[in-house]
Formats: sequence, C-alpha cells, structure tokens
Amino acid sequence: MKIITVFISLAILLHFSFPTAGQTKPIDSLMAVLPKLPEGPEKIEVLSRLLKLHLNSDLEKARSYGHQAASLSKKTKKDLALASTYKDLGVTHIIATNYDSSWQYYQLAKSGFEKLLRQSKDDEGDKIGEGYAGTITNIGNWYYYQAKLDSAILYLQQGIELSEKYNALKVKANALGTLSFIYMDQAKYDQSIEIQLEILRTFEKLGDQEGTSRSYQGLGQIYCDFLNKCDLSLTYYSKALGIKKGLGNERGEAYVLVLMGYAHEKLLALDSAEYYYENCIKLAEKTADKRLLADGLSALTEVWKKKEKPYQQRIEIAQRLIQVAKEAGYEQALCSAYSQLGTIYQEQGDFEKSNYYFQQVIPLAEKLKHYSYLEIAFYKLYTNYKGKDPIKALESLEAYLVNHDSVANAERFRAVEDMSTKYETEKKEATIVQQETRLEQERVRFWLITGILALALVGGTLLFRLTRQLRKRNEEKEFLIKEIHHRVKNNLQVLSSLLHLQSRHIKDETALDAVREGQNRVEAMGLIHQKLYMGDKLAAVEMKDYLYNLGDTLLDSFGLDDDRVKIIYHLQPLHLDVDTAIPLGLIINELVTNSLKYAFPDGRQGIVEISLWKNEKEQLCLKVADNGVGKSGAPQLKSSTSFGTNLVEILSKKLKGKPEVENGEGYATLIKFENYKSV
Amino acid sequence: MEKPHILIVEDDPIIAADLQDRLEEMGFRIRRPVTIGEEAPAFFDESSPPDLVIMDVHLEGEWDGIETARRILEKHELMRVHRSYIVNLAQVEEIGELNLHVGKGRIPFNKNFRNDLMMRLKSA
Repeated sequence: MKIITVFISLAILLHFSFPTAGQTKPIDSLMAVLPKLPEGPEKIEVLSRLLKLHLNSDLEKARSYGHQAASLSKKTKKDLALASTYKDLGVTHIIATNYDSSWQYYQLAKSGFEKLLRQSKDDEGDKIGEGYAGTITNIGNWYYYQAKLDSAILYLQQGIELSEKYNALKVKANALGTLSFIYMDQAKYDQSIEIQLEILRTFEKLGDQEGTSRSYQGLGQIYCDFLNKCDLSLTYYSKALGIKKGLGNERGEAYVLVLMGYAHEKLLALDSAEYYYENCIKLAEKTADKRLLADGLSALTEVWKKKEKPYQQRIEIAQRLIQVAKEAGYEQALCSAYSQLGTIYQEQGDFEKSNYYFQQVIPLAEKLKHYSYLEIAFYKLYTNYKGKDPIKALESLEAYLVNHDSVANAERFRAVEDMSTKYETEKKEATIVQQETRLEQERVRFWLITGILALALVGGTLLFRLTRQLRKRNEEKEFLIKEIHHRVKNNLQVLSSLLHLQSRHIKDETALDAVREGQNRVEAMGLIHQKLYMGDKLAAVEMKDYLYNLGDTLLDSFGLDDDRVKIIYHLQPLHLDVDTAIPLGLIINELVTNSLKYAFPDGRQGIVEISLWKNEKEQLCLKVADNGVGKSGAPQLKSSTSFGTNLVEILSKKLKGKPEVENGEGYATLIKFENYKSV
Repeated sequence: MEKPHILIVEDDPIIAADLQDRLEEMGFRIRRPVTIGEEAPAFFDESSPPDLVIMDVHLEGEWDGIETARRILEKHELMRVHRSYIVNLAQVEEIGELNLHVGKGRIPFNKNFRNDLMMRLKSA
C-alpha cells in the first residue's frame, strides 16, 4: 500500500509539472510531422512536446527527444529553447530516479535562464521568467525527493515568488503542490490543505479545468492518505473525475479511478475498489498508457490478494503486470509483480517458482532501494530453502538479517526523520513556550512593576498622610504652644495691670518705684511671650522687634517721649532662644530703666544706646550706654536701684557673663555672654 | 466739651479695669466695660452712644472682636464714617476690610497714643 502511495504522489507531482497534453494521437501526428520539419524553432518545439508526451510512458524516448532538441537548440543558437530543454531533461531524469543527472540538467537550465534574464530580451521576457521560475521550482522538487526539506522549501518559495513576478500561475501551482506535500510529510495537514485550496483557486482563476481537477485530486489524496478521511476524499475525487470526463482526458480519468479504488480499498470496500481498478485498467488499455495500466494492474493484484481470489487468476494478472511493466520500463511495478508471484507460488507450495520470482525481486529492489521488497524477498527465500537447502537458507537468512538491519536502519532513518520533524516541531513549541515564558516573565515583571508602583503609591500616600498627619500634629502642637504663650502673656498682662492698679493707691515713693519696676519687669517678660506667639519662630525671639517694643514700653512707663530721651538701637539680626531671651530682656530692662531713671534728671535730654552683637569669640555682647550725667552725677543709689544692679549680676551669671561698667561721657555697661542659645 | 466716651470690650476684668484707669487718667470717659461682644451693639442704641471702642480680639462669648466690630458697623452704618475703632491685639488681615485701626500688641499708653485718639475723635 505504501508503494502505491509513493507512486501516486510522484505521479501527481509530475502531473503538476507537465499537464498531460493528451493521448497517443498527438504523439503519432507529431512523430509523423517531425522528419518533414526543417532544422529550426518549430522542430525544437515539436521535439520538446514529444519529450513531454513520453514522460509518463517511455522515459528512454523522452530522453532521446530531449537530446535531439538540445543539440538542435545549440546548433541554431536558440538559448531559450536550450535552457527549456535542459529543464525538461532534468525532469526526465528525475522520473527515472537519476538524481545526479537531473541535478546537472537543472543547473544547466538555471544558469541558461539566468544568463537570458541578464540579457533581458523583451519579446521573450515572460517566457524566460516562466522557465526560470519553473527551473527553480523543479530544483525545489529535486530537494524534496532527496528529503532535504529545508532547501526544498527555500527553492519552492523562491519559485513561488518568481512565478508571481512573471505571472506564471501554473508554475506557482506546481511549487505550491510540492510545498503542500512537504507540509503533509511534516504532518502539517491544515497548511497542506490550505495550499491545495490555493492551488485550486489559482487554477479556477486561470480557467484551467485540468489543473482544477488535479487540485481536487490532491485534496482527495491528502484526506485519504494522510488524514484517513477517504470518504471525504472520494467526493473530491468524484469532482476531479467529472472534470476529466468532461475534458475527455481518459488517462487522467483512469488515474483518478486508481485513486478512487485505493480510497475504497482503505475503506475496506474491496469490491468497489476492484471495480474502480478494473475501470482504470480498461481506460488505460484504451489509451494505451502502459504505465497507468501497470498501476491499475498492480493495485488490482493487491486487492485480489486481499480478496483471496483463486491463485490462477492472481497469477495471470501478475504475469500480465510483468509484461506491461517491462514494456513501460516501469521497474517499481515489475518489482511488485515479481514479489506477488513469489508469494503466490510459495503459498501454493511451488518453492522453485517462488524462489525464482523472489530472486528476480532482489536486484530490482536493490536498484530501486525498495528495502521492504528486498526484505520480504530474502525472508521468503529463507523460508523456502529452510529444511531443503541449509546453505542457501543460511545465505538468505544472513541477507535478510543484513537487509532487515538496513530496513531497520531505513526505518530508523525514517524514525530519525520523524524525530527530527518532531524535534523541530518541539523546538518550535519550545520556542513558543519560551516566548510564552518570556511573555509570562514580562507579564510578571509588568505586574511586579505595577505592584511596586502601586505599593510606592500606597507607601507614598501613607507617607504623605503620615507627614501630613505629623505636620498637622506639629501644627496642633505649635498652636498649643502659641496658645500657652498667649495665656502666659495674658496672665503676665493681668499681673502687670494688677501692679499698675495697685500702684495708683501707693503714696510712698520707694514702694511706688518698686511696684512700677516690678510692673515693668512683668511687662518685659510678657513681651517675650507675645513675641513668641506672634512671631514665625516658636522657640525663638526676634530681638530687634522685641527690644523696640521694650524700649517703647519703658519710655511710656516713665512718661518720656522721643523729645526728651531717644533710644537708639545697634542690633545685629538675632533670634534668641526663650531661655536666653528672658534673662537678657530683663537685664536690658534693668539697665535701660537705670539710665532712664538717673541719667537725665531735671528734664535733661539725652540718648540711650542699646547694642547687641556677636563678637569674633562668638560671645554675645550687650552694651547699654547713655549720654546722661554719668555715675558721678547720679544720685545716691537707692535700694531699688541696687536691687536692679544685683538682678543684672544674677541674670548675667546665668548667661555666663560679667557686667563691666565703662566710664565715659555717660554711663555704659558692657556684658559679654558665653552661655546663650541663638537659633 | 464733654469728655469723649470710650467703650471697652475686654473679657479680663483686671485688664479692663487697668485700661479704664489709664484711659480715664488720659481724660476719657469710660462706660462700664463689657466682657462679651454681644453686649456691645446695645450701647449704640442709647441716646449718647460711645465715640470710640477699644476691643480685644479674643473674647469669651460667641462673637470675637472682629465679629463684634462687624455687627456694630452693620447696625450703625454711620459709625464707619464718623468713628474709628481700635481693636486690641487683632489679626491684621481680617480686619482690613472693616477699616479699623488695629493696634498690634500692647496699647502704648503715652502722649502720642492720647493725641492719636483725640485726633480720631475730632475727625469724626
């Protein structure tokens, strides 16, 4: 069955390459015309057509016509015809399984067409292109026969491109056909069917009924041979058959009949199969196509074997097959016939005849590399000789075993091929998996990044909220601190007001002084707290603003205005911590009070200077100076004043400073503080 | 000339008393100081309304000094033209639109302050 499939596949391919031009009639008429023609293009054309017409029946003749055409083309310098002839010769050799010769001719054709393309003759441009595309496609086919599928695909695709470029649709169909077979071999049936459908469309577009029918044929074959849907394939075959009948192409019809028989055989409808094969044989006889006849007979012998027809009938048909196959030079068929006969005679117990036929099989099968036939032959020979001729039996067994090995090897080779196909498929799958993995990884990465971003966002939001919360809490704290300062200031103000209210009722000058001074001290402290809650820094007092206010308050409390005593400020911009600011404020309060009280008696005008700066030793320096009457001019110190001086001493100690009195025009006190906190 | 009449709105009675004492010393007439803003507008319904209000921003009642000032101005539109107000310890921005004199911090009880007050009352 395998063998038939192989034949059929090959035949189909050839059909693609060379549309069957017709029957024996044109051959006869052409042969009649040939001798009358002068040596020129016409003769070459006739020779070329004869070659093609003999491809399916007589390869020797085809080859001979080819050689004639080639030499005539050379002689008349018809380069295009020469290249075309080389191409046809290549085809002839490939059918004869002379792959090396075929290769040579294809290469000659290829370089010939390439040369012509370079010269680019406009009038023959399309023909050259078509021929070139055909050659490339045939090289693709060549690689396909050699099972070099990668190269085959490469050339076939190039052939398809070229055929599209030169609008050679038949060539394209040919290339596509082989491509579909390759896909079949690779078990890519869907793609294979797709291509067949494209071929079908191509032929329909061309209005090529022959081609259309062959496409149906091809589709049927795929469905039956590879997908085991022989019932479906029968509908395609029927279509093909109908077209071929309509065209009156009896050979084509016969060929489809073989296929239909085969399909029925596969469906185990042996009677139907027999019917189709017999019809095929009838048509083959009618058209005198011996090759086809051989195919039909060969198929029939197989069915009869299955049907267990009487040996006599089977022998007769096999004998006939031998005869036909010999006439057609159809060695495959011959081989199958010998094998059939050998088996039949063995079953009949006629070992001599059986041995004879199997021995005929051996050289043929070796030549054709049909190892399965070879194996069968050796094995049957061994069983025939067994018990009769031990030496020959042993020889046969040895040969069988060797051959079995090679069959096994071949099978192994096929297995390897299968495996490599599988491997490639798996590789592709692996690539897909890899890509999917990568996609997956990318997806994971994407989600990871998204996750991180989301996390960052959440984190950021949280942080933002936290900081906002902290800030809010801070603000609340600030507010509370300000509130406290406010309250302290209010309380101090109440205290100051109390002292002031009380002072209204004190008649004693000393007591009044003491209360007023006390009130001023409270005011000085209250001012600090006011500055703290009104300023922009919570823990620090801006000294300039504070001292201006303090000065004004003191002037007011002594009922002095700018006309009498002016306070001049020399202040470095300073923010002092509240712990420094309060004692410093009180010190300044005492010193200024001193000056205001004693420096300008009797309505005397004058200036009080308050200076505050940091020196190079990072000491905080305070100087309060007046241009008043000075120490000497001052009245005797009263207790309250000495208390003020004491207070200055005490407070200076806290800030690690020592008051130094400077004698000059008026009265000046300089204090350098070491322990202070500025902000 | 009758002594100018000043209304004190101050929630701390001691401070209010001190303020009254100092202002009286300066030659102003002080009506009984009020401690919450809500009481203030009623004074302007009397036959001799205050010529001037000195008011703390922070008050104990529902109304703060600014709200009180706004209510007084709503009720007595003429006051805006004729009277100036001193609101003690105010937040400046909020009061700008009311065209009030805003004392920042302590009230300077000196000759200048008195002159300033007198000048405002004269322009009224």
